[in-house]
Amino acid sequence: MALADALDRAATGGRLTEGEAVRLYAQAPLHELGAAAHARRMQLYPTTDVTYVIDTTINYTNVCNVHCTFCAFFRPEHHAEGYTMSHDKVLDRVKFAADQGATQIMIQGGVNPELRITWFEELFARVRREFPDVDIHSLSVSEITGLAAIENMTPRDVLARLREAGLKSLPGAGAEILVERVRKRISARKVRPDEWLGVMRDAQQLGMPTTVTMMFGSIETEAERIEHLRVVRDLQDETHGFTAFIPWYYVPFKTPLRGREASGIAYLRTLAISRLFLDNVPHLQASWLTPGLKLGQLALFYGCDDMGGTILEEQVVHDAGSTNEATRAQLETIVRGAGFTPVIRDTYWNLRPEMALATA
Amino acid sequence: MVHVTDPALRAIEHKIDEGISLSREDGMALFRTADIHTLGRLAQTAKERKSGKNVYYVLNRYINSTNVCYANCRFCSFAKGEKDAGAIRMSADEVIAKALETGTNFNQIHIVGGHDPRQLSLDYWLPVMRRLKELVPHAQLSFFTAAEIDYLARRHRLSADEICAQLREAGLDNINGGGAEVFAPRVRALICPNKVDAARWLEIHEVAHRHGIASNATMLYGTVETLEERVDHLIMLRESQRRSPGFNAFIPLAFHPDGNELSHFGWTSGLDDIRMFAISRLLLDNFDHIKAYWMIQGLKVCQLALQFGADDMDGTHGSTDEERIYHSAGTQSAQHVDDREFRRLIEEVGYTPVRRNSTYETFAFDWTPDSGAPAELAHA
Repeated sequence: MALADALDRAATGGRLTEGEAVRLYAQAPLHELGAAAHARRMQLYPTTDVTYVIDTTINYTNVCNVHCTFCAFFRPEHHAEGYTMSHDKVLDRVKFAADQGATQIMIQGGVNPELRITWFEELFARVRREFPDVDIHSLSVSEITGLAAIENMTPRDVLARLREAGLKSLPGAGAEILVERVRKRISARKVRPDEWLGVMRDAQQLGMPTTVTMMFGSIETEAERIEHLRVVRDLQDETHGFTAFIPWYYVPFKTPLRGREASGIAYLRTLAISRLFLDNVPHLQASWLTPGLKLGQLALFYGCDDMGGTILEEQVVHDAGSTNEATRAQLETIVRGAGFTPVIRDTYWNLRPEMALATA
Repeated sequence: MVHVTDPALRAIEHKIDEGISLSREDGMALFRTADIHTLGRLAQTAKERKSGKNVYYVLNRYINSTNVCYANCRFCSFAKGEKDAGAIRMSADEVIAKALETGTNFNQIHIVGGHDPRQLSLDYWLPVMRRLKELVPHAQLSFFTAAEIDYLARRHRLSADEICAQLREAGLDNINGGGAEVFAPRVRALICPNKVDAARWLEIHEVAHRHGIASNATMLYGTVETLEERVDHLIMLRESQRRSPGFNAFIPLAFHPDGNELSHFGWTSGLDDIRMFAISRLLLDNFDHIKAYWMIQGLKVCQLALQFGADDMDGTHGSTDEERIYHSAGTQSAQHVDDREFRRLIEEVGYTPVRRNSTYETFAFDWTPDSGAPAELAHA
């Protein structure tokens, strides 16, 4: 049958059409979808290695003028609960993480119109000077376009200046669902899909690798999720600049949008179809923070070859009501418990075996 | 299109298709396989052969009538001494009031407690059971574990046969599956040295079955036991079911680590949970139901379990119920899931929700005992 043929083709690296992916996502039995995705992952990486990065997220400000309805973290300008960290405070957090072996920091916040590009340039320069071994994998497309608007510059010029200051790579946040209809409903003031992709293209052309996320489970249809995968795959055909795809699901608690959390099965199916459809994106990352360690572990059988980061400090997701926390040891335990071998990597997927835990 | 990456599973699939019970070696192969997709497919196929697209649940009340217990099981976060702060012991009237406080729209009252020298006696329980049978005749009484019945029998110097006869006469419909833990004597010596042993646990269930009392069975996994000991536990249950049929469901119980002496074992992993559901479905070929009790492994894992062999999600619990055994041990589950949400959770997985009672008689969704209408069998 045609659908089974499509699954077989994708399991060995062949390309799925958008229509095939929509049908497989909706109709393929979980175990067949999972087996195909896992087969593809083992074809790409015929090893039990599962990578992760020691990193931290520093949410330097919660002030934001984008006002996405799925977000519980942001505060509008002049709100009593708004905060912006000083450079010293950010540097304290970087030190905290670096002391625990972090090789990557993700400095991410709201789009705070009071912060100019020089604020970031000075911050990044200090981080680079004081912690030369820590890679700055920071900001999101929204923050880049926010700065571009304030500074009356193009996003590309903003990226070039920040890169000069020490920004090494761009996380794929803020992609949500790269479909106009969905963005109008959940993040009307955020960059449009083509703008988001354009900034990523700029970053990649400037030599900055980037990841790409998908936030699923709010108001989009399954077909719109596949459309998201398709626009990512199209850009990747052109640039080959995405290192990893990171699907995570919407956490509805405490957000204005409310709604229901996606099921664990939906999470695993989404991972599997992503691995099969994105034949040109090297890595698929398990996001244990929202689904929890149990599903994060099972993700390793549905196409994931990477456990993401240790996220030594995190604010955004916790504010939306997720209570999961994991230490390095916990992450390694679940990876081993699934029959895989945890291996530390850096932002560029260089393996760092010298950083293995002493007990390993 | 079938990707079987572990050849050992081909032989097992063949045995399953032929209706041959799996061996201890087969069980170990299933615990050791990395091919979880084939494991899942085999378990889901076995589930659908047993129950088709149905997934069962019960509208029930859940009551922990006492937490006073002198068994001192090391995995327990619930038990208290009589004089400890936090000791909770309900009077007979309180138990009855609790059961009825939100009306009578339920088909089961589930009660377990501790080995409480004051409460756990026939003088306390027989009148409670008789009164509940009068007040809510449509509700089945799913009371006690075999550990509690063993305590009752010893306290009243009665044989298993005599105690089961008295409990049945007073209205007991079902014995809960707890207290089984892991049957291996090595494990029991380490985690529950003062509890009923395996032979006695099985004897009580087998005798109860002969008296027309149904029952469930459990295994507490995730502490000191080996995989071999898990497999042996399942095979002992299968043999018991052959000797004296009457088990309805098997319920794998994941160890919870908060606030007990075995905390260092931590939480069970997602893979371990899923394997337990699938392997119990495949090994227990003479059990009709495998239950993914939503409160234990959590809603997300239990929904997934429905595709790994489970066909039951246990009960709603009442909106004012307070489960204390797993909540003392760190579960983040809610106390209650309402009827509509239960059905939605099951339908989301692609299955058909079916309301049942303790003995798996099924009911139409629109039937409520409050309306006075007779129970109507649903097209299950």
